[in-house]
Amino acid sequence: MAFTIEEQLSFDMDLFFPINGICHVHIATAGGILPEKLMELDNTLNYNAAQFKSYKQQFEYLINPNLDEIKFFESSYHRQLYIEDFVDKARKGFVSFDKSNIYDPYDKSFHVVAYPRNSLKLFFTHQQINLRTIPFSETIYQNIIDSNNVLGKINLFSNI
Amino acid sequence: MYESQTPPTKNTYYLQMRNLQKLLRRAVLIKNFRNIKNLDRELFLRCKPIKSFIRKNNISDKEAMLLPPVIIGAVLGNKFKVDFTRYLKYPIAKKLEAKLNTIGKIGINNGINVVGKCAEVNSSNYLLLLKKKAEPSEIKFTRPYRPRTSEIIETCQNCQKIFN
Repeated sequence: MAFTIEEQLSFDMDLFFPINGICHVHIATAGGILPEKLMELDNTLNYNAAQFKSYKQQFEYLINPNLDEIKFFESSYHRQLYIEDFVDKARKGFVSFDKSNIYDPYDKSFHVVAYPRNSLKLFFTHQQINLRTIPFSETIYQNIIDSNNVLGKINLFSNI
Repeated sequence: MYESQTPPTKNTYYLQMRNLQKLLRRAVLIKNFRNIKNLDRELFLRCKPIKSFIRKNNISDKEAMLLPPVIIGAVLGNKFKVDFTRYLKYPIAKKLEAKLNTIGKIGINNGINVVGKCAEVNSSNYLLLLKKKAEPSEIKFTRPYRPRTSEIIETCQNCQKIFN
């Protein structure tokens, strides 16, 4: 049974999957609606989310240098609160994306919040904990490349 | 666990959803209420514990969907209700239903947002069912928060119309 529209709208989901043999990504959906093809993979996505629990915080991380252009923060305290959850994912070796426009559930642009210092190396470190792959990770990878600005807003799910 | 899992039936799906909703209700449970300012502060401070509480107590296998996108507190007189984004379920207060029908069909996107899924609507429905003579415009709200990031979310235009 796929994730229903109701579930997608009612939850700020955590999606984890490897991309094209290069890195692992985490996506926070913020109650947005994602492509049907991706939402049909509920077994894979739930399995990956369960696997995530066994990861350890062991990596150095970086914060997207363009974050302040993408999001407005009242103060450095609010900025710290915002990045906390994404830093947790980055420290476990995931490139962590958040939904850019949280007011429109149908908008599909995302931005990187935090990422591990060396994503490529991490992929090999993580080999012992297998995340299940999704069939169109190559398309997502291509979307990131085509965006021309990896640290800006990216339409991750176009052509899916 | 997942390898041997049989596809969930409609019944197990609803049971899991109900359990998750129960868990979320426990996570946002606030017992002491003094005033709306105090409730707003309490909600802001709760964002962080909500995350760990839900992750620790989850019993469903829906690991990918645990956090609510928005939580809010609503106050009507001396009653208050903290609720989160979810589809509005029956019973619905008549005055609220009438207002919702003026902006679109409940559960359908009216071009701005899906009508009736906002945390504002769910929290106010509870209060309007308790106080049937009250008007939706009498309800006061805390600021809406996103538990993952503790950020304040802007109220959507649908809710601005309904609750003035």
